[in-house]
Amino acid sequence: MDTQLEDVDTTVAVLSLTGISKSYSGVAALTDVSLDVLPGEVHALLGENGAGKSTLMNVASGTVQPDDGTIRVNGDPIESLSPALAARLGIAIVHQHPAVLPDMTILENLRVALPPSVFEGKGPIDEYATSLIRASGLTAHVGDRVETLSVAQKHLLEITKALALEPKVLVLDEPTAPLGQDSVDLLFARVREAVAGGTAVVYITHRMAEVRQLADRVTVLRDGRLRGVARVDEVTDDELLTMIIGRQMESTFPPKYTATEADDINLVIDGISGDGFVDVSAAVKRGEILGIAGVVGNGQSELLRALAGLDSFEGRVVVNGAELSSSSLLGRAAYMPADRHTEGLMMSLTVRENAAVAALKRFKRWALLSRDREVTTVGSTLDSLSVKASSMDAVVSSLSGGNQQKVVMARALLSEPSIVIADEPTQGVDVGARLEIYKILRDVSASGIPVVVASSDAKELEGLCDQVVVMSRGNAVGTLLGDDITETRIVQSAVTSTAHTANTQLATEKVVRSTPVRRFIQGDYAPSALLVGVIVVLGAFIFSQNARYLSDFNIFSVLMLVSALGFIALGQTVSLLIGGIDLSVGPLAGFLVVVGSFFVNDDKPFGVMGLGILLMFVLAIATGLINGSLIRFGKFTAIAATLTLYIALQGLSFLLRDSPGGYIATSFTNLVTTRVGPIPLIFIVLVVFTVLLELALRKRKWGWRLRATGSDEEAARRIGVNIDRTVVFAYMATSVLAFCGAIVLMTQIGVGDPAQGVSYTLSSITAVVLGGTSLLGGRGTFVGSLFGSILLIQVLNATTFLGLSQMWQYIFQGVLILVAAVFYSVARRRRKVLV
Amino acid sequence: MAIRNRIVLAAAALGVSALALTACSSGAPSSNDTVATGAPVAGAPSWCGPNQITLGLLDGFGGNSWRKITTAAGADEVAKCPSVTGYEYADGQGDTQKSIADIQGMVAKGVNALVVFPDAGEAMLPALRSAYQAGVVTVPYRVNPGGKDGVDYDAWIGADFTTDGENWGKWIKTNFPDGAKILFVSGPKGNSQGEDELTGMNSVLGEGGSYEFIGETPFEPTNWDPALTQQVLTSAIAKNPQIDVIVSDFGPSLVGALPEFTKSGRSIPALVTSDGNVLGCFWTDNQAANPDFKMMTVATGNDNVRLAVQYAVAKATGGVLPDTTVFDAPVFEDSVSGTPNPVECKADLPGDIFLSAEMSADDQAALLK
Repeated sequence: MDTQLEDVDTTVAVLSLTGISKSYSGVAALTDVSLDVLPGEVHALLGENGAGKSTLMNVASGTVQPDDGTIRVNGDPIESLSPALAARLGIAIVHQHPAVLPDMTILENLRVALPPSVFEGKGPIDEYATSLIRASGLTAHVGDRVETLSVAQKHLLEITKALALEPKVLVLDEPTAPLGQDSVDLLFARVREAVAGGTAVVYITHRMAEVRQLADRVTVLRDGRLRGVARVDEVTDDELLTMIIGRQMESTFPPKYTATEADDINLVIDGISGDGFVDVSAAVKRGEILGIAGVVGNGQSELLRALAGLDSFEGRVVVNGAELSSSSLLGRAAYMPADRHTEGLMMSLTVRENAAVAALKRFKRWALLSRDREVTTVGSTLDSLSVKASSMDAVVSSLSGGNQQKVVMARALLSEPSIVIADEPTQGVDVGARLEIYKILRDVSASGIPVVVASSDAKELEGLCDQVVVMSRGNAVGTLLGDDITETRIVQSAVTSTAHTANTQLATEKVVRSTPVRRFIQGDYAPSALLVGVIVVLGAFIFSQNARYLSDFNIFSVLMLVSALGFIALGQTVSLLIGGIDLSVGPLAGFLVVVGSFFVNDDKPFGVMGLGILLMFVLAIATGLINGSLIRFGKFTAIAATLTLYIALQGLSFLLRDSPGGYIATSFTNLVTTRVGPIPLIFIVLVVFTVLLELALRKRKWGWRLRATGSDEEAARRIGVNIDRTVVFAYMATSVLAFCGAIVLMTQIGVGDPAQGVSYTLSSITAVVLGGTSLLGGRGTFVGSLFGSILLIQVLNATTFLGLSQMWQYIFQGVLILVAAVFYSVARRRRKVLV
Repeated sequence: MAIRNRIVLAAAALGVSALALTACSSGAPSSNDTVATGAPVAGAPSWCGPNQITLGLLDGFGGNSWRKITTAAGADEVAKCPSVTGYEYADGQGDTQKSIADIQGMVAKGVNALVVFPDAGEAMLPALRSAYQAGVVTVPYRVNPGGKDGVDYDAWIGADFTTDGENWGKWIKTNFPDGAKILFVSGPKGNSQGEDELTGMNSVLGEGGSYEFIGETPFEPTNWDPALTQQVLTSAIAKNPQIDVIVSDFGPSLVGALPEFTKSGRSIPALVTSDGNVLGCFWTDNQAANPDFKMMTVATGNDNVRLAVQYAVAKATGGVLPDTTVFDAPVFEDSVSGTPNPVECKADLPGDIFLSAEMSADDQAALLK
């Protein structure tokens, strides 16, 4: 026992679930499960995949509403538990997939996810945040971008967030899966510390070793039912194992193959390693089926993908005596993915097309396909697999799960493969079809084609396979042969494993040394610094050629042009930050000018002019509202929604004026073009806007929410960002800034011309991208967009000033964007996400 | 933290210096006063005065062959005056913001005279006005930017499209004395050029008389786009059993569409339009097979720019101003009378040259290579 039970009141369970049942469309996920978590205890929740552990904890954290049963917190029954209520009651959950925002720094992740009260009265925020992450064993700098962290470090960050709330109940869902030994030790120490402080911990795992190390009590679930509760020190491993295994037999199996001495070995896997698995070896004889066992996510799928030639590996794979490289495996292996719907089938194509697509070469007659040959061959294969479909031309999505899987198999067989790889071949398949699938795999194996099957169902592997490799954390922790292949042995190997994450890169905590310079280069302001450099050099060069470059006239006119583009680019930045885009800014600016041209004329009184400006503003707000609503509530993509508005606004402009008209009032123009020395007042306003927006982006919840949404919408939702509101307001902000641009544009073109403004859509996107804002969302700066706008206009000005031929205009811009794209992508190359 | 702050400071300092370069004044003079030397330039045209200047020629959109030839014509005209010591060209590439930036850049750079093709029309007026107010001789031409001579710019050298219309009307009256059914096609809907041309024709033919305009009024819009022209013509042929005359202000765009008549078993009717080598050659090839195919053209107006350059140079150098600010496109070809020219075709040269232009056909062809 590592955990000391302190003097806490253990009589009232801090969290008590009684008689919980939950079913999804008739299938029971939980049946009458009860769980009591006492203050100051670590309560392990043990079970295989699909045992119902995560569902139970989703009930406890309010994300899933149970069909039946009661939830009590500190003895008080809770009518209906929502995630928000759970958080208020002090229930914190650390998910298997961390809800962190890759484009934001560690500090920003903490601040956006945690209530401000966490930081109040704790001294300087940086230092307090550093102490928080250090306490969880995270050695990175708080200014590091989360994207640069390893998967393990992200988990530690997730745990930091949960612990910082000082929860009453902390739920950890398989927290050690991606962690190396050091981190596991640190995590355990941290958990014990929290427990010592009175926190109750629910620890979800499938590893008995961890249960022994950490937990006081253990609850075992199987098939959604409670199998037993015990004090850890009063139960043996064998007793636990008996509780874990023992699934109902759902299917029978075809007879196994008994290999003889005379059989050749037709598949050798010799010490292969790749992303997510290391040093796996096996050798099977003709007629034998190789099984890959383990709890989901321990490297089995990665191993299978490598064997199918889809991912690279080191080591040797020999099929029927020939060593095959990754690329030759890709052509010869038939791979049946676990995720049938997205990877395995083209759901809108027919059964025949899906089956035939990998074997089209066989039906070739000169340059064309022989329809007869295709129909005959495919038909006989489908018949031999007894695929039940209304016709060969039925859409594959209309078939049942089992028949869909058989279509995948038909394709595999039609391609005349050298090896067949099946990942979870019977997932979502009914019992009757399972036996047929097992038979087909047997037949394929008997015909001399090696078959490799991965399954999380140990019972299935027991029935089907002649050799089983058990994986844990990417290592092969056991190889079972013949009569040793039993569910018990398979599960035992998997749950008693103490192996730590195989992938070296995951195990090393510090991947890159974080220095201020590196953080700056990977930070958001590096592009701005680069742009400033380019602007200064280009400016200096032009000035050296012609001193009039810095004349009042030039400065004024250049900055006026920058102002119009700059405001619109700021608006575009908001849209790009949330991972969207606003194509309608150009036509909106043009449209607003046309609207303004009816009111802001020399012969109109000031009241009417003011009314016109107000109307423009209201129309801008409305446009943003429509854009945002179409995207969030109409489920349009950002491009589709804003393109709709693009066309509609242009149409409206032409409806209002079919030719230019309505000169803008001189008094208004004079006001907007007021200058301070050579600098337009409006440009100063633009700079002030930029600085304010930048501050809001970095220091205020508004900015964090924008970037959180763009960085990872799902994670943002989980940490409590209201996505709908954030997105709709973002598009409204974009439109309001386009309105500011329109005010400048009004004085620039001086007339209501329906054809004007459109080009701002493209130039604003160019300016923003030059400024380093990511088209993928989540990161960027307003300052960069301002400098991007300045540079674009400077280049326009430069071609005239340097008397360059017009070709240079295009070359200049093209090179700039190319250099920017290359530089930025190198500076922030996304590290490959592992496991 | 200290290091980090230093980086922020350094970045801020760089930013400020960038702003300084783009935004702060060095007080460089933007004056463009010219020095009067008083002596006329020997051997040069009268519009070429003695003061030395630099001149900028600006296009709103310079991407087609008509524009290239026009630009070359402008440069050619500039070259006649040795007082113009510097010549610059910029192409707005169809982008209003770039066109505005071009004008302002030229002014800032210190050119003394600007000749501008303001494609974007009235949207270019503020930029033209700012150039004029900065003391640069500003001469927009061809497209009307709105505004007034001597207030927003020095002078607008427009083409007189009413005269074109009158010339067309006279020819129609001569060749179809008993009336005719006329199909008039022009550019984008509502363009003033087409409206002026109709006014010109109506002044000769009389409204509501025996001359009937068929199709949309005031004209069938085609955007001067050959593909759209073909669509318009095809449907017009289907709808109207009789079309005596087609009037178009951009002749070459008709060439792709005219075979529609032959396809429907009708003769190509009389054509009243503007010139182009491709059109002349089309007439030459098809006139025998189409008995009704008579043709008259006015000059397409490449030389409009020459008048604008003359005006700008004269104003800036102190030369003699041309006596008009309106470019009249002369009648160019007449297949019936042969005056002033019979229909011309240079089959060995590109179709997109304009034989009415002052620049020689071979020079134009060389330019487009």
